[in-house]
Amino acid sequence: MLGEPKRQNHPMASYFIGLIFAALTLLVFAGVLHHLTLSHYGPQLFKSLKDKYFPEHISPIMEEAKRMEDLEIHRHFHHIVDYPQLPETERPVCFICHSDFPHTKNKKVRALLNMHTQYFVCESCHIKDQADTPIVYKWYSPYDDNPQGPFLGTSYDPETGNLVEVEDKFSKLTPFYLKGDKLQSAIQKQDMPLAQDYMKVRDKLTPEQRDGVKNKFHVNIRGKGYDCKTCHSEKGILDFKKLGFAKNRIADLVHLNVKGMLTKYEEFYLPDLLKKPVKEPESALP
Amino acid sequence: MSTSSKIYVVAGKEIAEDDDYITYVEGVGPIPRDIYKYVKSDPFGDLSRYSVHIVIQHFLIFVTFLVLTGTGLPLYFSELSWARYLISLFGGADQARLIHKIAAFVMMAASAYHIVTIVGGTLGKILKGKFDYRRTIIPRFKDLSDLYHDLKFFWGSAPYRPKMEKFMYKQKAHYLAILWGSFVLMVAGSALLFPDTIAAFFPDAMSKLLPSGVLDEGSFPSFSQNLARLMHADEAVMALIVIAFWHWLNVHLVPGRFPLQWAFLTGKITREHQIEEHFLEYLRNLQEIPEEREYMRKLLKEKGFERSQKVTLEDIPRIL
Amino acid sequence: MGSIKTIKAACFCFVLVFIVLSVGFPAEAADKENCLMCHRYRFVGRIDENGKRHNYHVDEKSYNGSVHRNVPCRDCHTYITKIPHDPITEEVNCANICHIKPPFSQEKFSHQKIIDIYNGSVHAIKPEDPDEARKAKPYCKYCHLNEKYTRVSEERIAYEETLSRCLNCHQEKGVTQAYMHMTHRLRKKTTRSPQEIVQLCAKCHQDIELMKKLKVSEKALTAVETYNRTLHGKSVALGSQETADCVSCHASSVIHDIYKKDNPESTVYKDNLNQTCHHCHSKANSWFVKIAVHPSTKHEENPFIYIASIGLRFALYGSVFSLVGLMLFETYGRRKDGIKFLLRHGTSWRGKSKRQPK
Repeated sequence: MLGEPKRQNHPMASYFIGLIFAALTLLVFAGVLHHLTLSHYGPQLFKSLKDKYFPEHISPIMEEAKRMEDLEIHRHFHHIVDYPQLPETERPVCFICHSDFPHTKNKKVRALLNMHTQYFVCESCHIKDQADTPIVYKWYSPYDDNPQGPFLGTSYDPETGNLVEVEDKFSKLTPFYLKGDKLQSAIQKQDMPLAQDYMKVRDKLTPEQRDGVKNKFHVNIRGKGYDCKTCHSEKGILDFKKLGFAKNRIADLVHLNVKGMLTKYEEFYLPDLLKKPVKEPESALP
Repeated sequence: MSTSSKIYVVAGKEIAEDDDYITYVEGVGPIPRDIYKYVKSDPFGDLSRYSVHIVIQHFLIFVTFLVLTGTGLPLYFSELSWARYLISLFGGADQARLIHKIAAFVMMAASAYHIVTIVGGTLGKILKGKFDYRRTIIPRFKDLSDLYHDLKFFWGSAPYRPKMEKFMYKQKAHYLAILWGSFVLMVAGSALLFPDTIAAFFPDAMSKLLPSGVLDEGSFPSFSQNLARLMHADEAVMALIVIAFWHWLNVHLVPGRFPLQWAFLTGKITREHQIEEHFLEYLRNLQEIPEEREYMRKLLKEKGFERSQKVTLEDIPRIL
Repeated sequence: MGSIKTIKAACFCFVLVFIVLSVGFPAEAADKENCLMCHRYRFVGRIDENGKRHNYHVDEKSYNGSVHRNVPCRDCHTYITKIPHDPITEEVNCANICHIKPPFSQEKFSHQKIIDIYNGSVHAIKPEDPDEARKAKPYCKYCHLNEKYTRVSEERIAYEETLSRCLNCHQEKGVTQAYMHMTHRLRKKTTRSPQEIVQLCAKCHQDIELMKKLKVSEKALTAVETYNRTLHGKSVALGSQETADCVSCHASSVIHDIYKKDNPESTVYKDNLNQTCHHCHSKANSWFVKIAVHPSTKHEENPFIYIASIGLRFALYGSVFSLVGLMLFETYGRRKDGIKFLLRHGTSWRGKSKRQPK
């Protein structure tokens, strides 16, 4: 046939190269669409739609908090090192009212006390003694019922003298009630939405109402925590050896007064602490 | 085209008297205008259209154009999220800047090569006495009437497409646009690349003649630089959009051309396409290539178009 | 034989100095007083009365890799006289003379020289400044964290440029010699990338409300925005390391000598512009320096450019819409004439023309 109206003999390469052109065209088309609709270079045709369906909530409180945080990260001479945080759903509820740096009252020791939050849950110090049930301390992680360690802060790196870096960054020393043979966690089981709700309505409550709610939250919790010596001494309530601390580390923890540190604190600061017992545990978030 | 030729002869037929449905070619026969629907075509092309020089130039321009847009666009849209990814394809901003400059020089070299080819080829043709401006890209009034005719055809009020030369109105417009666009891009690009050299064209003393108030923001170097920034970016975006939405679609992807025209690689055009859009060029090919005459003669016979037609001399200027 | 001994001794000295300079002193030297006993913990910190977090943690590893790794804590924190110490109310004074002797020098080190230059600059706090300005103006620690050393490849070190930076603090004689001998071995840097510089300056300078309060000039109000529109700004935004950032033009190699445009000492003073631009643009002349580095975004200041941009916009939309329109119209016409679009077999004249011949 000399006439061949139904041409079908396109080689495969034709489709391949043609596809490249088609793809490039589509790419440019997508770019143009983006330019016309969303990009701030273009007329932003979808801007009202975007505003309608994805409104950005601007909260002055959130912005101020963010600015404060940025300021510290940006202006901190000694670089802030990132440390992984538990997601909010996994954390004990205390932080909702008390924040990550709960101790703010006593100027002399607040920073040191806050330091302990890396190793302790709040209840470790702030638990009410119960005459009949003894308290046992154990490592506890929200991800692992029986964490095996090694735990942060239990040993030194022999080469550098720094604390050994560990993988388990979430385990903390936690008190348990020993009831018969069974251990029962002493961590306050609280309702997170309830705590969040309290923070919202706090200002509307009368002082009496507030105290009522707070007492309900703080069953088995006392405002003033243990003294330093409760743990940092030869006969402290923590059995460092059993908890997996290295020998030289135990020595440092027990004899914190190598440089007269602990005695100085006792002499100068702690009496002051006793004079004004911390009545309100809710102290953060001024 | 030598006018002495007697091969192109027209005889009106009742069905399409105004539209020259039948073109009678001596030694071939009466060719109907819509014969392109029935001819055999090799996808790679049957009839020569571009010399190897043009193919090389097109390829160089094509590749450098893609590289230039790839390295230039992210700079213009530097705040958008995709800009970073695109620029990292070229090895980061500093690397991309170097690549942009190299590609620009290659493109300018290809353009110079093109000008040399065109000027040299034209001179050669003039010397041999074969130059015919109708076969060139030079715009003429016929292009406008072809456009009008074609629009009428698309609308449905003209029965057949116009008989066009080697370059039709679309190609001429596109070529001229590229000529202008690349001129602007090159000049503005040079002004951005060598701001100091460009500014050095103006003698130092001249700046001292002007009062300082004029020099501050509205000074000539500042103005020319601002203009260069604007022109380079806007022309480039326009070039990309026209290439993507018009050139690639029109040449490769519209019905009848899909999946690909190989002309930009092989330099050859399919018979079907040439008869449809460059009919007069096809007639020239018939005149020059005996095999083509033979093919068409046999095809006409097969389709039953061999009946000879009458010839009228007044029709000659009408068809060319 | 004596000469060989000298060479040997010189080699030994060289190796020693090199080891000391490249390895640095261990951190224990900087923490003789065991401040890290408390400050090594990640959560030593508090939230103050203004709601600002304070973290007193000092990361040993990070400090050991920083420029101040050899400086003991109390060289800067001089107000601490006992352990445990009282709550801190004082600020560190960077002009303190510390117990470090720079190489080839008998004098103890201090940042005083730079601070003097800074005190003359536009960023210094002047006695007549209102409270707002005092608060807003950046002091040492605003811009300078304890920079960490990062390794760079050898070719990145530009000899003269780097040396000029060293000489900002170090004595010329010793350091020039040391630098000439060992520059090829020094692969550590603390200089900031252009991106970091732009971010740092923009932190305050793009805050237009703040700048209005400080009564900066009309052009300085929009400086960040106009810079970002230029090729300089766009390249830096894309990660270029070679493009001019704020400091490239607004300061000399002393970096802290930033003045207002009308101060004859400023690098952007009209008579100094030529030299400033010359650092990168070798052919800079008095015409070249008139090119706007912060081109105005206002239409009324560039009416021609504005008109040109509108013209180009029309050209773009006009050509694209007419060409694509023509293509669509042509496809419509040719489809009516019988062309068919088929994906698998390409396209050809398969259909029957719907046209009626007249």
